[in-house]
Order: sequence, then C-alpha cells, then structure tokens
Amino acid sequence: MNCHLKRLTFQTVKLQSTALALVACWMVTSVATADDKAPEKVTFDDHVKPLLVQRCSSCHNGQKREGDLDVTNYTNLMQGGGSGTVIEPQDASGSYLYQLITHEETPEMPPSGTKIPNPEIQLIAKWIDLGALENSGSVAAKAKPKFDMSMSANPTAKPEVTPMPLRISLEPIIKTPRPSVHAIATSPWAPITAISSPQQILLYNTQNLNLAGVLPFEEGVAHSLRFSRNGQLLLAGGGRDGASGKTVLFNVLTGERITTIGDELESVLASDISPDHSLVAMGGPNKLVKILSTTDGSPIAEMKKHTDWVTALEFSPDGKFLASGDRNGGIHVWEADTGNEAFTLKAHSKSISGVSWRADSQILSSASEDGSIRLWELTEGKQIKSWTAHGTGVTGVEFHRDGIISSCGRDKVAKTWDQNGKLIRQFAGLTDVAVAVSHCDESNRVLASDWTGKLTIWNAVDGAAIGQLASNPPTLTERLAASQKNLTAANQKHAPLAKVLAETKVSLNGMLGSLEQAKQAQVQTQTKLAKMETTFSTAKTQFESAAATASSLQTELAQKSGAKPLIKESLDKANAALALLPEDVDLKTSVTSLNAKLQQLDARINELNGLVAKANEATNAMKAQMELAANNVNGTKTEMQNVIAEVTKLKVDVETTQKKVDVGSKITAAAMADVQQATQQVNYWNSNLSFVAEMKAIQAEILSVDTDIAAKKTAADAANTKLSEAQKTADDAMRQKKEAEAKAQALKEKLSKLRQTL
Amino acid sequence: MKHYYQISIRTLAALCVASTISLSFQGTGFAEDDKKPTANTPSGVEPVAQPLIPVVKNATPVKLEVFPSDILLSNLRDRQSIVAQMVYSNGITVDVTDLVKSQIGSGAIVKQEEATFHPVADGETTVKFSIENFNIELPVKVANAASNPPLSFTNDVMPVFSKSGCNAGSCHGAARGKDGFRLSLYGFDPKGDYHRLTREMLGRRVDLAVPQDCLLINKAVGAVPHSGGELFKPGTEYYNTLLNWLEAGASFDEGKVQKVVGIELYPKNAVLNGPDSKQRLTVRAKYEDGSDRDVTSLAYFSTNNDNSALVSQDGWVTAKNRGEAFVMCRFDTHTVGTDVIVLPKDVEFTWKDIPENNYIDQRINEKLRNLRIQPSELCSDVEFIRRASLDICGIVPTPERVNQFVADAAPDKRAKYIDEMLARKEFVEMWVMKWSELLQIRSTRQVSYKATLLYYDWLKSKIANNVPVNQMVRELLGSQGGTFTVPATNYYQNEQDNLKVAENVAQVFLGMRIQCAQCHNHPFDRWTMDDYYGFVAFFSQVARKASEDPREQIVFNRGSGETKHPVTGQNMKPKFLGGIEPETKSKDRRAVVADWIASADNPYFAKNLSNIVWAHFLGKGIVDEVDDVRVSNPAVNPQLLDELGTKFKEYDYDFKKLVRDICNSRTYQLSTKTNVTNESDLTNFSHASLRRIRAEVLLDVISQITETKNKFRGLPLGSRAVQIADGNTTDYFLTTFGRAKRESVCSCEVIMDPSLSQALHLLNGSTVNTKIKQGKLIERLVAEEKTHDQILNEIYQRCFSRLPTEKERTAIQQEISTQENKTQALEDILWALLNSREFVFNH
Repeated sequence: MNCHLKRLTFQTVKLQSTALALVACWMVTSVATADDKAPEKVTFDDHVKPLLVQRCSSCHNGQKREGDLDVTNYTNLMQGGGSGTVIEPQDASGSYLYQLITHEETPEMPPSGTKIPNPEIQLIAKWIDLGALENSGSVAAKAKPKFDMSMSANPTAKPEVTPMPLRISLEPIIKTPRPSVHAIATSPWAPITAISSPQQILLYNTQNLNLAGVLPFEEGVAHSLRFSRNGQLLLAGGGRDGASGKTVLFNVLTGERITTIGDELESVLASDISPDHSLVAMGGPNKLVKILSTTDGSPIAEMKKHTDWVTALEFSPDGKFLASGDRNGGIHVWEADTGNEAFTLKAHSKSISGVSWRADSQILSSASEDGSIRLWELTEGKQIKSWTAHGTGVTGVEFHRDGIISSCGRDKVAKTWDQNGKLIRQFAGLTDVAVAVSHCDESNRVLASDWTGKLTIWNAVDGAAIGQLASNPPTLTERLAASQKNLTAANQKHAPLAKVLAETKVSLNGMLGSLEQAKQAQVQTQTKLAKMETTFSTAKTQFESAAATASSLQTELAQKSGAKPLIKESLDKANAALALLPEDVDLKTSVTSLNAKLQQLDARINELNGLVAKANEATNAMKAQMELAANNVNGTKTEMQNVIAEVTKLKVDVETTQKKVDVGSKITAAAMADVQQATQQVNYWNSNLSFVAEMKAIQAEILSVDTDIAAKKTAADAANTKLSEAQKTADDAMRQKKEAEAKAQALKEKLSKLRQTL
Repeated sequence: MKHYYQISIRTLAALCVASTISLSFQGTGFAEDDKKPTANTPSGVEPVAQPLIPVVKNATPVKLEVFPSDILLSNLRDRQSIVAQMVYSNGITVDVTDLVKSQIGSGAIVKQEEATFHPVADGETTVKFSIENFNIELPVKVANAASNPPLSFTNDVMPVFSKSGCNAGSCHGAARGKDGFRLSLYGFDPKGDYHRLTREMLGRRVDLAVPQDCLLINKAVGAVPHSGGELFKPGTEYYNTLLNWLEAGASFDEGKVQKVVGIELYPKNAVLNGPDSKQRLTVRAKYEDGSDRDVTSLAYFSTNNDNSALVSQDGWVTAKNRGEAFVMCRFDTHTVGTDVIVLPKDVEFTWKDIPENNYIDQRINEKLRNLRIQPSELCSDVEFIRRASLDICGIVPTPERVNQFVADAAPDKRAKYIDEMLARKEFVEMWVMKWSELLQIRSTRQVSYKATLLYYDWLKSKIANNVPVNQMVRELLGSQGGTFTVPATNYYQNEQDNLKVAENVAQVFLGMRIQCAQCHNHPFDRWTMDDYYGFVAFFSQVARKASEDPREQIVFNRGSGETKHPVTGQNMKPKFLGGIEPETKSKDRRAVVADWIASADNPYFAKNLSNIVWAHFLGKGIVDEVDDVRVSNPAVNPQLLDELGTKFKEYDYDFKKLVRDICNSRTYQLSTKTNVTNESDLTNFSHASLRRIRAEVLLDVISQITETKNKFRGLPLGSRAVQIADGNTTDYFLTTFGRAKRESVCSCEVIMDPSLSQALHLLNGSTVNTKIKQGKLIERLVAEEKTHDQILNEIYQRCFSRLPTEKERTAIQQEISTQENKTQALEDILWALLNSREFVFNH
C-alpha cells in the first residue's frame, strides 16, 4: 500500500515532464509505425524471460509471488501485481517495473540495492517499447498516441507542489482594440486564473494581477475553460463558431499543448476533463454530449437527450457523474464512464448557463436564464433548494471549495451565497451584462467579466474591488516600449532633481565654510572685546585712582588751605602774646613752632598746589585714555554684534539649505527608485522578449532535432533491414558453404569408403 | 432650329395635358447651354455632343421627369440617387437617367457620382438636368455635411437584415428562429432583435474584440457554413454598415429613434416598350423629424407579376412579357408600389371606340386603352339571359322566357330583364346566402340550431327589406341581448375570441386580413402590431353570460377590459385601422367602431362591399381576393373601385342598385370570346370570364332542369339549396362542389375551382342520373308527343338557353336513330348535356 501511494505522488509530480516528452514521443512513434516494416523482435520468451527468471524469480515466481507479482509467466506479468500493472506496452519509462529496476521508484528492485546490469535494463526497455511481445509470433498492438493521464490518487486533494505556471510566453497572440472575455476559470490549487479571449487564453496571477502566460488558441474562441482538479491541466473548449469545435488540453506549468480532442462542426460551448484526466466531455450546438478518451481521443459515449444546444457541463469531483445543461432549461446527469443517464433534473424554464458541483460531489448547483439558482442532491436527483439569484437571468455559477456559491447575472452584478440561498455579498462595478464568474479559492477573490470585456477582481471577504484584468494585454514590444518610456520619463524626472540636489549640496558646503569663518571671527572679536574691556577697565581704574589721588590732594589742599588761617591766627595771637610776653619761652617756643608750622604749611600748600595740578593733569590724561578705551569697547561690541548676526544668518541659511538637501535627497531617492523600477521593468520585458525568442528558437530546434531523429531512425531502420538481409545472405552463404562442405565431406567419405573396398 | 421648334410645339401641346413639373425650354432658364447647337443640327460642329433622346417608334418625347422632386442631404453619409424618365406621346416611358446631363448650380455643395448625389458642404443650390431641349431643375439642400452621426441599430443595421432576408419568415424571422437564432419577423421588435443579437447568447453572435471575425459577420459573408448562404461580400455597403456598427461598440439607439413615416418609390409608373427594357427605381424614406434618406439599397423589392416585370434587389425593373405588374418595395413597416405596364416592342394599336353604358365601362375602357387592349364584343342575347339569371337569381331561364327575350326587339330589353330578375325573391335568397357566409351562420357548440335559424331569419329580413348595409352592420356589431331575442348577437357567439372577432370584422367589412399583425408587423401591408391590438381593443369589453334557456347566451358590453400589446405589455387604446384613437370612455366600444366602419368617411367599407358585389358578377374582384386588400395586392382598377364605392354610398348602401349598375354595364355583358389584344388579359375585365357555377346554384339548376325536388334539414321539400340556413347543413353534392362550411369568414371557403371529383360525381355520382330518372322530364315530353327535335330543343334551351347547332343536331339525330329505346337515348343526351362544361360554367 505504501509503495502504491508513493508511486502516485511521483506521477503527479512528474506529470510536467511527461507532458513535455509527449510531443516528441508522438512523433517518434508515428514515424516508427510508418516505417518499421521488419523491426527486430525482442520477445518475452526469447529474451526477457531468462533474464527475469535469473534476476527476479527467487521472489516473484508462480509460487511465491512477492507483491502478488509473478514475472516468470507472460500473462501473469502483464496482469501485474498488487500495485497494478507493471508493464505499459510501448512505454518503458511509464512502466512500473522499469521504474523500479532503474531505481527511479521505490522499492528499488532488486532489493539488494544493486541495479541489474545496464544492458539487461536496456533490453527490458527495448522489449517494452517495442510492444512487450510474448513470442516471435506476437504482433505489437497498434501504436497509439500516448498520454497517460491516469490519476487514481484523490484528485481533489491539495497537491504537494503548487501548480503555478513556470515561465510561459507573455506575448499575446493578437491584440484586439476592445477586450472580450468568453470564459473564466480559476486554478483550484494556485492563485491563477485563466481567461479566454479570441485566439488566446491568458493566465493571470490573482494575487499580484500580473500576466502569467499566454496560451495560443488559434482554433478560434474558447467558450469554456476548466482546470483539472489537481490544477495542473487546463482544458479549453471552443472553436470557430458555426464552423468547427475542439477541446485543447494545456499543461498549466509549461503552457504547452498536450493534446487536442474532438473534431466538431460547431464550436464547443461546454467542456470538462474528468478528475482522473482520462475523459473529456464536450457539448455544443449539435445538442450532443460527447465523452472522449484523453488517451487517443476515441469516443466513449455520445448522449442525444438534450433538446437544444448544450451550454454547460461538469464532471463531479469524484468522477462518477457528468452533469450537462441545455439552452432549453434541461439538465441531465450521466454516469461519467458509460454515458448512461442517471437523472433528469427538471425545473429550470430557460437556458442553463452553468452547472457546478460541490467539492464533495454530493450537491450540484445549476444556474439558468430564468433567474434562479437551484441545488440538487444526487442520490435521488431531487431539487433541494432554489432561489432567485439574478432576476433577469443568471449567467454563471460556481461552487467554492468551502461550499460558498458565487454567481453572476444580467443584472450586472456578481454575488456570493451560502447554500441556503442567503446572499453573502454583492460585487458591483460591472458596466454591462455579466458573462462569467469564478472564485479563486487560493486567493479568496471573486472574478467576473461583463459583455464589454471588463473583468473585475474583488476581495471575497469585503467585496473591495482589487483591480481589473485585461483580456487584450499589450504586446511585449509595446510593454517594452512603454517601460522604456517610463524609464526615460523617470530618468528625466530624476536628472534635474539630482542636479539641483548636488548644487544645493555645494552651496550648503559653501555656507558651512562661511559659517565656520564667521564663527572664528566671532571668537576673535570676542577675544578682542575682552581685551578692550580689560584695557578700558584698567584705564578706568587708573583714571579712578588718579581722580582719587587728585581728589585727596585737593581735600588735603583744602584742609591745609583751611588750616593756614587758623595757624596764622594762632601765630598772630602768639606773636601778639609774645609781644606781650616777649620772653616767655614757652611763648617764644610756641611762636617759633607756629612759625615753623606755618612755614611748613605753606610749603605743603605750595607742594599740594603743584601736586593737585599734576594730579588733575594726570586725571585728565587718564580720562582721555579711558574714553578711548570705552570707544574701543563699543566699537568692538558693534563688531561683535555684526559677527553674531552674520553667524545667525548663516546658520539659518545652512538650516534651510540642509532642509532643501534633505527633501531633495528624498525626492531624488524616490525618483531613483522609479528609475530603478522602470529599469527593472525594461529588463523584465526585455528578458521576456528574449525568453520568447529563445523559447521559439529552442522549440524550433527541438522540432528539427526530432525530425532529424526520425530521419536517423529511418536510416537506421533501413540499414538494419539491409543488415538483416545481408545477415540472411551471409547465413545462406554460410549454410550453403556448410552444405557444400558437408557434401565435400560426404564425397570424401564416399571416396574413402570406395578406397577401402579395394 | 426648325426641327426643335416642331418638337417644342408638340411638346407644349402634350404638356398642356400632362405636365405637372415645370420645364424650361429653349431661350428660358439656362440659356447658354440650350443655345449651343447639338450634334444633329445642320451646322454639325459641336465638340461636346448633347445626349440624344432615345427614339420610340410612332411616338415623340413629350415630357422629362426627374425623381425625386428635390434633393435633401442631411449628413456626411447621406446621398440621393435620382431617376430620369422620358415620357412619350403614346405613353411609353424610357429610363434616361444615364443620358441626362446634369449641371450643379454650385459645385461646392454637392458632388455627383453616376446617378447619385453626395453632400460636400452646407447650403442650397439647384441641379439642372437636361437632355436635348428638355430641362428640369431640382432644388438641393445640404445641411450638416460634415457630421457623421453614429450608425443607428434600428435605422441602419436592421434594414440590412431586412434587405438581406435575415428576418424573413423562412429564415431567422420564423417563429422559432432558424438554426438556433431568431430575429423578429421583418424587424417588428428592434429591442428584442438587439438583445438576441448581442446578449442572448453571451459571447457568441457578436464579439467586439474581433468584429470582423465574429459569427454575425462570418455567417453573413458565408465565411462559415450558413444555411442562408452568402448574403453579401466583404466591402459592400451592408458589410460595412454591420462592421462599422460593431466597431463602434454595437450599441442600441440612444434616445428617440426617428420613425419612418412613409416611403416614396419612383418613378410612380412606367410603360415599358418591349421585353428587356429596363427602368431603375429609387426609394426615399421620410422620417418623422422631416428628414429623408435614400433607401434604394435597403429596400426590399418584389413584383406581383414576374411574368411581365422582374425587379432586382438593386432596384432595376426588367420588362418581360406583355402585361402589367405592381412592383413593390418594402422598407421598415412600409410597402409602396409602382405600376409597370409592359407592351410588346413598338406595338401598333388603334383603339376602336365602343359604346359605354355607364361609368363602369368608362373606367374599364380607360385602363384598357392604356394597356392597348380592345375589349371583346357584346355577348349574344341567349348568353346574356343565362348569365344574368344565374348571377342575379341562381336560376336558368325557361325556354319560353328565352324565346320571348330573343324575340323582343326593344333596345332596353336587357335592362328590363335585369330589373325583372332583381325583383324576384331568388335575388334576395342569393344575397342572404352570401351574407350568411360572411357572418358565418352555422350551428356550433356555442350557437344552437335554434339560434342559427333566428340569426338567419334576422339576416333574411334585413336583406328582404332592403335595409342599408351600413345600418345592418351597425345593428350587428353593436348588438346586445339574448341570442334568441336579439339574433344579431350570435355574431359574438360564433366567434368568442376577441382577436378573431377583430380579425373577422376587418376581413368581412373592410376586406383586410390583419391576422399576420397579431404576431408581427404585417410583412406586405402597413399594419403593425400596434394597429392590430389597437383594433382588437374595440372588442375587449364584449361579455357573455348564460340565459335561462341553456341554448341561449346573453351578449352584453361589460364596459371594462383591456387589450395588452404582447411585446410591450402595455394596454392598447382603441384605434381605428389607419385612423384615429377615438374617445370611447363610457361608450360601447363596439358601437364606436361600428359607427366608424359604417360611416361614409370610412375609406374601406363601401369599396369593400362594392368589390364583393363586383366579384360575384365578374368572377374576380377589382381587388382579388376580395378580402385581401393590402398595399401589395393593389386594385387592378382603383378608379373604378373608388367610383363603385362612391356610388354605393350615394345609393345609401342599397346594393341592389349597385347590382343594376354592374349588370347594365357593357363590361358585364361582354362575350367570353377574346380578340388578339385581350386574349392574355385575365385581370382587366376586357372579356367575360368562364365561371364554374357555385355548388348551391348548380344543384338548384339541375333540379330546376330535371324538375325534381330536394329536401334539406329544416326546409320543406322542394326548397332550393340557396335557402339553406345553417352552414352545417349540406349534402355530398354540395360539399363536392365546394359549398362554404362557414367555418371562417374567408372568401376562399367557397370553392369555385373545378375539380376531378366534381366531374366524376356528375358522371358517375347519383345526383344527375337519379334526378333525370326521378324527374321523368323526357318521359313527360315523349308522352306529350313532342318530336325528338322539339325535345332536343327543349333540353338544350333548358341547359344552355340556346338551341343546338346544326352540327350537334345532326350528330345527335344520328345517334338517336341508332338507339332502340328513344326515351333512354334522349335521357342519355340530357345526362350528357348536364355533364358538359358548357352547363357547369356560367359564360
């Protein structure tokens, strides 16, 4: 069981490469069938059985049958083991046995860990590729186009790898003057939507709204788009209205066409691929529902019960049923693999515009131009719910993975509903009758388009419109030209900004220099001022001390001058007294002392007068000096103020300019970012252009190589034929030689016998 | 110059009679041009040759006509094609469009490409057309020469569908469409068509992304398989219209769509000289805002007689065999036609004057003169007496009366005989029968046998008392009450579906089949769905309730109830067909419509009834079928029909007087023998036509001749088949000979065509042989000991009113002489006579 599941996972992941190989494979096989007239036969009995017996039969024999596989018997081997068939005739790489012995798959065989010798593997591969013949009498089955789409794992489960497109050409096939959207589909497991417009299908990323790929549909218009349940395949059904119809299967990852199924005389209006990828169903104006095999396009069933154009169909997610609706309001549910009718669902009175299954296959929703959406259960085929969704006609319906239903209608609105028919949200903004609706489960966004080709995408949660997708995107050259124009514009915007910024920066630097100088000047002036003030203060001190000296001298002078009369009076009095008392010694002494004193006083007064004059002179000088100093101080102060003003001004200037620089830098940086973005865009579109060119070149090369391979194979086959003819000739010659030798021998013996008879 | 002078004199003379358009002659108007000498003047030095008027043998050109009478161009795309027609002294017309020289007064206003004028700049000017010395000047007015208005879906795109036949009944116009796509029949529902074309099948029929490659275009040009084939090629006007409309966004008309109020088809008539003569047509549509448009390329052309005139879809008439055709064009809901007469090339014809008894002969002979047909001679007295007796009274004259009539030398003996017939009760019975058919008097589930009889008696009393028909119609349509007490109410019992009642009223009293317009605008007539439902609205308030007698119903006016238009869903106001919307508030709408129908102003009523009477006597209506009046089925002699209608009104709707006029006309009394000119004429009453005697009369006449009696339900033994009241009462003979079942009002119910089963019934059926045996006429005559010759005369006169010819007599005598049983032989001869075509036909 374990190995079984693993194998399936492997297949799912490998699908992409399988698909890639397909085209080449077809070519080779078709050439081979045409020219392999006498291929070398590798048979089970002659070549493979001995090998398998030797290498594998110890476990996988008729008795032991490990893994329920017996390799010793052709029939048993072809029946396969517990995990299904192990040999896919004509497809070695697709055969389980081959995958195990090459250790591409587990459990590796033989289990010892060592592969069997390479030539033996090659022999087995050759045997399988040539049809896995039993014996020399077996004839290889007719080679058929081979695309093994079998998927038996739960197809509705989330794949391990998100099926996002790899790099696909973004070059539109045509660019129409107006948009038109005929169908919308969303991948169940990736944020990818496919929309169809004439001659092409566009893949868009529903998250960033970027174009993710353009798939050519030269058949005309795809009226129906369906992702496979695992999201890896996209089925487009359509054609040229009134003339031809087809379905085309694309690999979502590579964008390559895998196969084309159906050949109708009218456009396919509805189509779907079964969850296991084995069947494609389609319907259209011929009123038929057809089920075809994806393997070779062969018809499986054809249902003729619809009375009008088939307008809608969908396989149930479990693959059991196929529901189809017609323009008359009729719905039939068929058994998917037989086409036998299971139910007829009658209720709608007008054209069915869509049928969609709930993810668990238990409920089918149907939408009709009669305005209603109806839900049906599929055990008895009974209607369980019906509501008027868009009064003037519902034009599309889809069940979300989580059971919510989205719809769109002629009322120009898309809506989401719960399963009771309760409106959850309306999505407005369409300008005409809505044409198609889909809900991207991965991004939880609703997409709907209208008759004018406008396709809007909304957030399903709040109904906010997120953007629009163009069904007529510009060509790569146009995109490149536009991005180049953007780049030029960005550059043009950026260049002057940068220039101005640089200039501003230069002037800022200048200003900063000036400011520095001014600041130094301020300091110097400050110093000078201090000096001046010191000088002034010294002068002032000196002046004050000189003034004080003068003042004290004047005071003394005034005292002395004031004392002189008193002394003179005393002297006079003493003289008088002496005169009276000439001999009075005391008196005499007094007069003498007084005389001395008076003389002393006069002398002092004289001295003081001189001193005062001198002091006054000095004071005046000091005063002048002080005043000069004061002037100097004032002058320097003014100077100082100027310097400060200069500094202040410069500071403001610097600040302003700095701001300018800051803002300019920001703007310039933004402009630069634009430039970079534009450059990126240019590079992006350039790279896309070169990708397309390169891809085309490689594809052309592949084609030519394939042609070459085919030619070489033809040559080799021819040579082989010649070789085998030559071998045959050689063999014949050898046989004849042997016969001749034998004859010679016989004759010799006869002669010898004859001799003995004598 | 002398040559021209002569022509001018002749021209002037002719113009005094015919011209309606002013002509400029030499020396007047555009003098410079005219004074230039032409190529065939003696001087012969004319560098620019004037175009020459085509020569028509034995005739001179008298008048140049150029249509239309003015050129009005109102936008960049507008254009006007003209048709120039030269009228000759003998009535022949020749298309000279390619020959006339045109001179545009101011070249900056319009430019000319072939016969079509295109705008250049706004302004007014004139274009002068001249050929030799005939000149016509047309005023030209150009407005908005620079404006290129958006294409209109209704007025530009839909006409392409109509022209290409897309919306014809055999194609997408069918009720369920064709191949999954439906258009309204002849485009009666533009909005619906727009929806179906653009949005019904989303993403299929049109795709604005690639308009040149969408289904609509691909189907039309046959790029993809199309049941209708390739309708036009890329690059044609039709293709460009569709493509430009798609490229502009395929929008529906915004705002008011100018309705077409009428279309004009030119020339108004044409008299073509010999097979393969051609005449081009031009069609102009007039819109309600006063603008017009050349729709020659958009109109759908048809002819009612492609044996005489073929018309191509680009508007060229090609003459074929001698005869007349009504060439029609349809555009929008309008159909108009033009009379085309085709004469053998250069036919020589001299009209021989013949007496004209009354206005009927005048009108008939006027037309015959135009057609260059000489009517037949007058029929013989015996032919007349048998014809008049059968037509007026449904009887054959007795041999005695024939002899008396033939012997009568009075010049007005025919008029007297007519009065004699008109006075008989059989005349009344004949017309009661005819009206019974129109009023569908028959017992049904709704109308009991008793009511049927009462209804019949009511009708009989009206006719017997000479109640004017208009009065009778008023009484009938406005009737209220029990079907026993007021028998006329049975009219509303016979048919209880309002739609059918309206249709019957239109068909019986106005001669129109408006049924088509129930579901779509009438394809060959002017009636639209609006007209139809507007007319039905008159009958929307008729109600019925049970009476005490379960066989009786009471018909009354409910006074409420409306008719809805099925497309628009709106209540329709009662509207007269082709007339006004009368005030019907608190009135019985039926009375309003009855008054309108029976009024002297009604344009259809009197003419229709006169035509019914006419058809009875001449075997064919002036409009034929009599209840199929429509534009595309024109009256063969509208003047006569007008005059009959006028007379009928003058006679206060007493059709006895009308019958007298008709029977007294020479036209009625013409022989069935044709001459060279009228042998192919089947429509213009230039000779009497052979008419199979209708079922009831035939049975009555056989009974009269064989002296046997018939028994019909509700009538005494010996009553005449003509007297049968109930449409459901019949017998095998009557049914075989096409007696009307009165299940519908259609004039086609009475089968007048001879058929094999009729011949076989006369030969092998029980009626004739049994009656000969029962009546024992021959036995009686033999018993009266009449000679074989006398008996032969007697039965010949009884059957044919005439005596046997010598050849017949000799042959029969010889035959009788070989027979042993002479009575048997004579009976066989009577049987043979009753089986002869001469007997079964009125001639």
